[in-house]
Amino acid sequence: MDDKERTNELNRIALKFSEFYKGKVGIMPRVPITSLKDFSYWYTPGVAAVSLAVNHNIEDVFNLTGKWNSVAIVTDGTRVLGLGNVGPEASLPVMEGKSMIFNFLGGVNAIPIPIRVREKEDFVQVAKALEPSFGAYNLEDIESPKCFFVLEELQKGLSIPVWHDDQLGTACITLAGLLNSLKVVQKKREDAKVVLFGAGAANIATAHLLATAGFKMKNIIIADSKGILEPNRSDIDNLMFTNPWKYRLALDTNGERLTGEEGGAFKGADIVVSASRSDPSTLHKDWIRSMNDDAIVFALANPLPEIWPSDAIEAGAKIVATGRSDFPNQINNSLVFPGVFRGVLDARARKVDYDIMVTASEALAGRIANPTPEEVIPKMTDWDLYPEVAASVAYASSQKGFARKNESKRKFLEIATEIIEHNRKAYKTLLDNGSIPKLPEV
Amino acid sequence: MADELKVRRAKEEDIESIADLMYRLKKLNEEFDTHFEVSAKAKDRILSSLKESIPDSKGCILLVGTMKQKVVSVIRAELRERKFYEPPVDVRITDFYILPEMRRRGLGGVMIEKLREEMKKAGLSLLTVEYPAFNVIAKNFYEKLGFTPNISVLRYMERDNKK
Repeated sequence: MDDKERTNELNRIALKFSEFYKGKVGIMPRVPITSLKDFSYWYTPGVAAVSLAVNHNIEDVFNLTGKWNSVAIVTDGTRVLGLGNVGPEASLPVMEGKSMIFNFLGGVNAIPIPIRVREKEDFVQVAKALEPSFGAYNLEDIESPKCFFVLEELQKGLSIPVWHDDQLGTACITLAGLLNSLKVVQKKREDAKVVLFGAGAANIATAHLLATAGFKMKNIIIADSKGILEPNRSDIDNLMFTNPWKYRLALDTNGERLTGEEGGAFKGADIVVSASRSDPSTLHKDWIRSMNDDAIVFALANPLPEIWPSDAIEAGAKIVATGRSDFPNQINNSLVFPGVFRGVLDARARKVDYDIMVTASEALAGRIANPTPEEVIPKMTDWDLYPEVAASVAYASSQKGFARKNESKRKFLEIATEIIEHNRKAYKTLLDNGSIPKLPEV
Repeated sequence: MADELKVRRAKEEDIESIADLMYRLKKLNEEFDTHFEVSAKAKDRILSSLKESIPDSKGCILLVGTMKQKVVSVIRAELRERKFYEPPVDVRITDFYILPEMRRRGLGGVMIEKLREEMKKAGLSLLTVEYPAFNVIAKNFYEKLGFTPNISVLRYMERDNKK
């Protein structure tokens, strides 16, 4: 079966399973209910006392309700996977999938919330109004540059962490992979020349995260279909208004002030992180050849990377990472967000920032004691990874003064491990006793 | 960084550089409104108007910001007569552009300050500015410096209103 046939087969199965299960996640009580009298304290009249307690001290909402473990997955469906603007309803299957991963890997109750809004200001207003129920927000599949505005406004306006996985999750796992890659090729982050190919959500966040982690902004070159990003590029004044995030990077990066077509950015570079067009002819072999010795190539487009790993290696790359599981070094956000959210929720954090993300990336990178060119990124089946990332994030939040709940790192690790394991055991029980029906015949 | 900026009256040798900056500004204005579509003859017209107004600076104040002898910013203000009001002259900023590379360093404030000094020397006190209505960056910049709304200019184009 070739790639196309395999994809078609998976599509057919996905539709059949979705029709059978009618939704990937659900809500179930987490308290004992054995008789009618139980409702008198879980609901009226007893619940009124709980309501008044929260009314008296609003922070008690974290102690007396499920807010501490609830995340909103908010999207407007404007940039879903590689499908583009499919609308909020069509984004729901994807958001449900995300919710499922949140729960399975991080023990987090994540509620899919696709919203029907047109203007970015409306998105912010709706999202702000939902804050009381949630301990954190995960923004998902929002078109660029709207996603930057929404993230920035919500981070400013809310007292819970706000994360945009397409930006921050991708940047975090990319940094983790780069830290181990640099170990393999024995280069220092402060000396590394980095090309960020593609100037969308992921690479704009990656630029900021790399700078926070000790890479030099001046050593980062951003290139896109219009060429190398620099202050004299013809679209620069337009960017000041339409995409100020990209505009600011045009001024801050590219210390050499390279100009011209995108291929020129690669000469002498140590690293390329490509988040661009899903087509293996996007990155030319000549460009890779012009890079420094032991080049590191991250080609992250899905389903097809911007260059096949074999071509990149033939052109001189030492390490290649892609978004795919069938090649070594899969750059996968699912390694990041379950642990990061477990961590910020356990610390009842007020915010998350680039410093916390660097901590998460270092924890992820640290899961591989002796990285090799074929293994710079941990695998999803490294079950200890999620509580480890969670504990690092929770403790860093506490150290930075972002946490409402402060514990030692060891204690945070115990908390995260217990929640994740308990959740997984409960799920397995439902699966084993048939409460969750077995997959139908395909 | 703003200390390294020197602001002075424009000279003849600056004309090419100023024309480039002013053309960039016109192209920027084009982004906001189709009615600022830049004429194909704009470059030539900017050059010829600069040649006329430098060095005498009749009817306008033209200042340049230089850094290491390179012109990095320009501000052009027209002196407009107000026959029926006091004060009788309005100094109207019509063009103000800073090279992207030099932005976010406080140069804008320095340029405006220098313009105000020039106005004081000439006994002028009213400074106004015009820019496309949707240029929020300009609006925020001038408001921070204490500018307040003055007059509104609305437009009506036959081609937009044909049924």
